[in-house]
Amino acid sequence: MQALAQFTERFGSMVSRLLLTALYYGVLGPVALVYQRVCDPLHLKRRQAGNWTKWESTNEDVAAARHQD
Amino acid sequence: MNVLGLSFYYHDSAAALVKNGVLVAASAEERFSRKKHDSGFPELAIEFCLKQGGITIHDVDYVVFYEKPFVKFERMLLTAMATFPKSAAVFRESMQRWISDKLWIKSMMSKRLEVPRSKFLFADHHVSHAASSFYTSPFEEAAILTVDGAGEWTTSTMAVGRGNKIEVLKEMRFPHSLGLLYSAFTAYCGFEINEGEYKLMGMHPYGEPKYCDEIYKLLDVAEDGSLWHDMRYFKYHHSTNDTLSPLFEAHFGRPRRDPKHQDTSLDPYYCDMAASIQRVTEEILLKMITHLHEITGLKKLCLAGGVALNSVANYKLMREGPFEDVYIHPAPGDDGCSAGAAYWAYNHLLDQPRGPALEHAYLGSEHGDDSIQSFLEANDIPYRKISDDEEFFDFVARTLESGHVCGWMRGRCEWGPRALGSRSIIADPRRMEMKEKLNSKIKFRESFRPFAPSVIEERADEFFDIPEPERHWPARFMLYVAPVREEKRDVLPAITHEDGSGRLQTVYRQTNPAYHRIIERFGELTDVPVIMNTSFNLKGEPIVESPAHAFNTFSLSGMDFLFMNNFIVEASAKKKIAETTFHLRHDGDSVTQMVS
Repeated sequence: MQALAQFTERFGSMVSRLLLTALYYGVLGPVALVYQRVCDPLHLKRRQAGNWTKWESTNEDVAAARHQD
Repeated sequence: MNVLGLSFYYHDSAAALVKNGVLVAASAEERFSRKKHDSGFPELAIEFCLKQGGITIHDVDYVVFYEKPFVKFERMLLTAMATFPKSAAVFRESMQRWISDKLWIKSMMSKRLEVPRSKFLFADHHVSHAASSFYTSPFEEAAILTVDGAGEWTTSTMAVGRGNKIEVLKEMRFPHSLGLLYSAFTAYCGFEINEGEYKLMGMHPYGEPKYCDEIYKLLDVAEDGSLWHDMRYFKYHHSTNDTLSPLFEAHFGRPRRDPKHQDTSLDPYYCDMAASIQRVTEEILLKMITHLHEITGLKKLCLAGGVALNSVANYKLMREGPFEDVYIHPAPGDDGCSAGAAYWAYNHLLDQPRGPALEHAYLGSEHGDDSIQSFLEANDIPYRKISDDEEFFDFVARTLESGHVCGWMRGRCEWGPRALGSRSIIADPRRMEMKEKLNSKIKFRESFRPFAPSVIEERADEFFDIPEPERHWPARFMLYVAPVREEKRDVLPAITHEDGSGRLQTVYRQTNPAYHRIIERFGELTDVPVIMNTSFNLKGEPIVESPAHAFNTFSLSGMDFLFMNNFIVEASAKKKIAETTFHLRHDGDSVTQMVS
């Protein structure tokens, strides 16, 4: 029984890795290629005037704090 | 009003209970689960907090998670897109973890705690850090700096705390991070990330800061202390197991050190590198706090985030920085975020008045005489007990004076990573051989690692360069490395590090009377009211919590005596007790774990 559980876990992990790889190259990839041309979310390009950015607070009441985003 | 704060699924899971504005209980899960840096759901820590607070989960008004999971998920996705196609492996690995656990945090918590979903709140990671420090500080208003590896997007913030409110002014965002920079050099010098940063700090006095200029070529540091990393030198934003790119090693002309040499070798090159990154870290932090002082005009500073565990830098910020007073929470890392999240909800969000400052870190579990005695008797462990406290303290002080190394367990466990005299291994700091003995026969760790001194607050200034010790709150929590006074270095060879410093803990009679009395009595016998204090654990083991853990660790090491409350166990009683197993951890986190 334990061997079956181990096999199922490994098989599940392998399948999920395959699906995630397909998702990465098939879905995320084309979007990413366009995205990289228009956005720089990681600020990979050198910045001239310091790297602090203004804090945008969106979590100031109980209703907002209930959200996970 | 009862607010339960939780942090988990990164490292150092923890729970903290704020009851009517007072932090009544807080503990890392690892103390109970015995898994070092346990990142799982802190079920045992929650159970402890509720029991300690005398409530059930149904009495809790809010449960507050320490970060916003979906914002972090967004960062993972956008980072994968920005680094496509190099990020395939990290995308696969991190998404597996997110899909199986992290995306379902709210429903999982609701199910496991049997609490309605409306009671769950989510704080921002760095706001949790800021709150942990400001709301437990003695300051009515203060500037706040938080610096760690990475939260959701944020890696550092500057904020202001006034009364019961915190206003965040600025942030720095991933991947530009002082914490991750320090971790990159931790990996370069052959230590584990999220584990070996202490070792790098302990190694730095053996080297010279020769490579600061070379380090500064990897990044831009503005006058306001902000950082921009040239990511061609780093890989942590798109690799599963590598922080450094080949260009990093080419830049310095030497490969990263093989981790298998970390325990034995003090290679001068890597010692110089440790000294250099320490200097750079201090210079950047100093720029940050100078800028923070300029924009806020405030006189007090609260520090938080994993970088605030750099006790060498903390002392320099206090001595060389523009702020009059500095406060650091005893758990400035992610474990402390559980307390911060609870405080933030209680004070800032629900507009409740502030509670008292946190004068001590004894917020964990406790075992009474009955529990200790029944453990000893159930396991046929020979012991004796000296019921009279003064007689017992005299016995302990004389045992230390005669050169014995002792395990010391008494009172409530400490909150945070430091042992502060509740779960400590103690010894005589006047004997040079103690350092070698503790490192090789008791802690089984690197020979260069220093040991900390505990000194009674009344006489701290006599032995350490720490004038007006009562003003230095971080020293209560062992978060300062201060110079040992030159004339005292020969008196305290076992705790004086290579550069003449010591990571001192000031001990107060009001907050830990028994530990204070031991040191005081030791001082009466020797004229040195200082003892050597290291955490009660073996290398890679969480600090002990219960009598069983303490006895097991005592039995596996070269300690001479074990003191649990007023019970005395001698070395001849050592034996293996099967049920007190623990997982020794010698490896750090993977790069994916570090950033996600």
